[in-house]
Amino acid sequence: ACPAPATHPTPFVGTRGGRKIAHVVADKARAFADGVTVFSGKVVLTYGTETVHAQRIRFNRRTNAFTAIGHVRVTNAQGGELRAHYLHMNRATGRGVARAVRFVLPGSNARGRAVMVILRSRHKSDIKDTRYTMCPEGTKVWYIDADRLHLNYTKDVGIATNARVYFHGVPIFYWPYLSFPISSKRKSGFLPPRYGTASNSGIMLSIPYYWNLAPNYDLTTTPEIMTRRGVLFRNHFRYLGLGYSGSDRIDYIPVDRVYGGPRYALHIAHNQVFNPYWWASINYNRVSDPAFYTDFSANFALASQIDLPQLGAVGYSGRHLRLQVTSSAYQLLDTSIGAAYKPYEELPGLFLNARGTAKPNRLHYRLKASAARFLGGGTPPADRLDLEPALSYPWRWPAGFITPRLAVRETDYWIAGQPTIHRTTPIASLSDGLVFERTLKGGGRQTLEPELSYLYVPYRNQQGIPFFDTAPAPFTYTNLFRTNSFFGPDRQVDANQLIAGLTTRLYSSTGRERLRASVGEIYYFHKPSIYATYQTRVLNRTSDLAAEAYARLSRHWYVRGSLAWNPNNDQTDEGDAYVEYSPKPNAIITVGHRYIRGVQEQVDVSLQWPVLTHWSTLVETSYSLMQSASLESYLGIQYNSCCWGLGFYVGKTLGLNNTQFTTAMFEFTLNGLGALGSAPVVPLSQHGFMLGY
Amino acid sequence: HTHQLAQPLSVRADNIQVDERTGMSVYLGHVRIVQDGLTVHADRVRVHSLHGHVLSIHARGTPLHMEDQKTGGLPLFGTALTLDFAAAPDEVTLTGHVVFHQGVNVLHGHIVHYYVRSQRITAVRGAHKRVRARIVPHSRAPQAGSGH
Amino acid sequence: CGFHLRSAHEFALPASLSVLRVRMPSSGLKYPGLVLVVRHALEDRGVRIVDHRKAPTVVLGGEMMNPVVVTLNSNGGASAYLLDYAVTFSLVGPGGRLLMAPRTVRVQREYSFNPENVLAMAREQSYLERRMRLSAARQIVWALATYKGPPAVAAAPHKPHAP
Repeated sequence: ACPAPATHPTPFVGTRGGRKIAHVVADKARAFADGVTVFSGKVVLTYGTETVHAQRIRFNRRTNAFTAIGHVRVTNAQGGELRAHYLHMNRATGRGVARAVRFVLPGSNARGRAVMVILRSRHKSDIKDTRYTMCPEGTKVWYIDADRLHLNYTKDVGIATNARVYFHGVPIFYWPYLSFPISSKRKSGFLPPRYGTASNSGIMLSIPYYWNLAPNYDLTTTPEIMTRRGVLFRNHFRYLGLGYSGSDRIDYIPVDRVYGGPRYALHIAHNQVFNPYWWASINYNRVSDPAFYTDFSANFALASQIDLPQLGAVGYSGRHLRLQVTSSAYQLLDTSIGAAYKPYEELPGLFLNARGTAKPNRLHYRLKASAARFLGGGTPPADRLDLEPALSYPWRWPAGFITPRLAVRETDYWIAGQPTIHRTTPIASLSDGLVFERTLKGGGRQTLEPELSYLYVPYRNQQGIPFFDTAPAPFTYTNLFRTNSFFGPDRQVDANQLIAGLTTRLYSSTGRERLRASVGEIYYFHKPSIYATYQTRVLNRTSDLAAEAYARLSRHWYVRGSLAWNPNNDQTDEGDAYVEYSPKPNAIITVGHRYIRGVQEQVDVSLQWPVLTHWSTLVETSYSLMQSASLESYLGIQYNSCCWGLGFYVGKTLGLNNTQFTTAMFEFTLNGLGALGSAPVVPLSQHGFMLGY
Repeated sequence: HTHQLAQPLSVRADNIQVDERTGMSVYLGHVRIVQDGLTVHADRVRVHSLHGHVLSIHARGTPLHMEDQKTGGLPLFGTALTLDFAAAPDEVTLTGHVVFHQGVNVLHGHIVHYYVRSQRITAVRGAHKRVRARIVPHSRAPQAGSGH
Repeated sequence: CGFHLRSAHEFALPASLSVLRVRMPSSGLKYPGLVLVVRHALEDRGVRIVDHRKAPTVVLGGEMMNPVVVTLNSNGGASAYLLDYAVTFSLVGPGGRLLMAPRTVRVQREYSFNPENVLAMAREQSYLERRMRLSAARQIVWALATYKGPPAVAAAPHKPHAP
């Protein structure tokens, strides 16, 4: 691993010792009447936390200055060090001069040589004709020659003038003016520039600049110069206060030559807590045109967004009462969904959730209520009131539970102010379960939890109700036990069915859940007459079998999967599986497979593996078997020694509306000085995930 | 008895043994030598003089004390095991755990030469102990170049 | 095969954790969603939940809910997300002494959605988030059940509280 830089950013030659008593040890001393004493022979002068070693030191008590000559070495308690042939220091004023200097800057691992160092004050020093590098001891793969290097420790900035960068002795860069942080503290300044090419934007160079405006807010502006399009200004403003925080992004390109005109993207996120009970949040996004993210983002997640949320919410979170007032709207980006479809907007929506005690073996009452006004979707404004009071009695004992529950769902609609549809349905359920346990050798425990639940909901004709915010729930184990197989109140499924489930869990001796596997099925006494149109499968007496499993087999293996299997025709209707193997922190291989009968089949493979000592490879691909086309693939090679790094990435991504774009990114980093190039947000970090076990 | 050495030098002790033939006289017990501003308190002093002129003085103490009031500045105090007035007019040599104090500044050495008239001090390390000094900068920040 | 109905002993938490407080300082709210769910999971196991400082405290923090795109539909739009939820918890004695070192609990759920009704997708995501918090709460309770340390309550005689 690379040596960590010394952490304390203090001047390598401390001069705070103005008042402090000086202690000297030497072989010989000659004191003169005028207050000057000359020490010689392995002289060691210490004051405060500084120590000066030299062959000869002339100390003037009256002017409080000293001159050290011959193998001068100055160190301070914070790891700063300076070696020189000659050093004159006025301790009262803090000014001094050193010649033939070799120095190490704490905080930034920078070390170098200089003809002369002028120590301006306690916190400022100028290094003349210097050659320095950030490479750790022993290696000098790259170094910088600069006429002048000014260090200001209060501002934590090093400024080099006429800096020439040499790499293996070859001059590769010249900066008339180069500033770099000399400490880890946040500091305004240039962040590593990024250089790359993308098929839809040409050659790109982006140079982020970070404004450390205040301890609790900062701004990063990144002009991104693209040869085919123009200059896109990305701005990211973050702020943090007592009880509130936020992050806003404003990307704006005055003229996009390919698009022919200005384009922008807006993202505003704000979260606030007024007091321990009241909170508010905003998540507002807007783009000038649907293709913005596919054109300007090598970021796989952004490029595949279908709708941009424009949400606002104010809420009260009490112990028994939860209240929320929201406004939800979305900007549609996926133009393929059909011109007629325009998402409803819920302006406003009121949600209320009140419940009594949650202690077991007691009568529980609960009220879920929502009132909403829906706009858009080609219909006049519609209002909806949905109330679901419920009574239940969770009877629990160590080995199981029995919970009878009775609820009545009352839903009323007003279209353009006129009451139209009214629906009242009782919902009755009785669920019970047992818990079997056994202790495993090694102290772990395994449970076996059978569960049985009966649900009865009478049929109500709901043909006339539009789907405002309701859609069928995918068929998974988690959704088996819902009292409504639709998300949202616009459909309440009729039911006369028995749901059976079996879950097993494996716990280690320290209580970590190592494995959870569940399987379940529904037996229909009476087939439901309301079910999702897409459920083209004829509903038989029994539903598909739904199974899912999560297992951390060992410290290195992780497996996750789910399945919907039709026992009648022995066909899998839906399933996904994911395997991850990670023997070392920076070595990981993951394989994923997803299948929805007739709709989608996709395989994802990703690999990040160290090769030799400093190299690592990066491969990631998602392949759609249904369309026999690669949705997205990346290849990367990285070299990183403690001193410098080189990375090369090439990728092809399918964006929205079947836009295909390829990107090639190149990154050359001189550690400590910033990267000359760009590493994209490697999609691997989104697919593969390092589990925090 | 007081003996002259370039400057008037007086030596006082509990008792004195004088050997006229060798010109050597030994002073024993609470010996005090005074010469101009310089005063030495020692246990035993041997004075070697010829024809009434003092060639050398050798003092010994556990430790002996030396004091110089006429330094043109702060008085100078020194302690050591032995002290020698060499033939040279104003050089005093102290040896053995020598410690010099002047105001708050301190100097330790094995052998220390003190040149009284020029107020110069030279300290040299011993076999085991190096020269050590404690220097306190002037309290008033000195105006540039305005020397004390 | 060794399975037996869970006994009262296996079901209950250690006696020293019979009274607990649950807090999530990082959220600023007194009852964020996870705090309520953990309280109910503990009450389900017979633990008495209190709000005063004299009881050991389950400290929750670092809640992270991160949707990750996992599949694209034929048109390149996201068609399935992986919800990656993580939270850390630790157990702190009344004096502030750390009784159980911080540990991270992680829960994932994949969900595919019908792109034609995005308001419904938001409902599905919030339903899954509630289910994942339930699963995280269960894992936290299981970890607390393995606490073998000394009685967490301060040595001072603990006077029974008025009911």
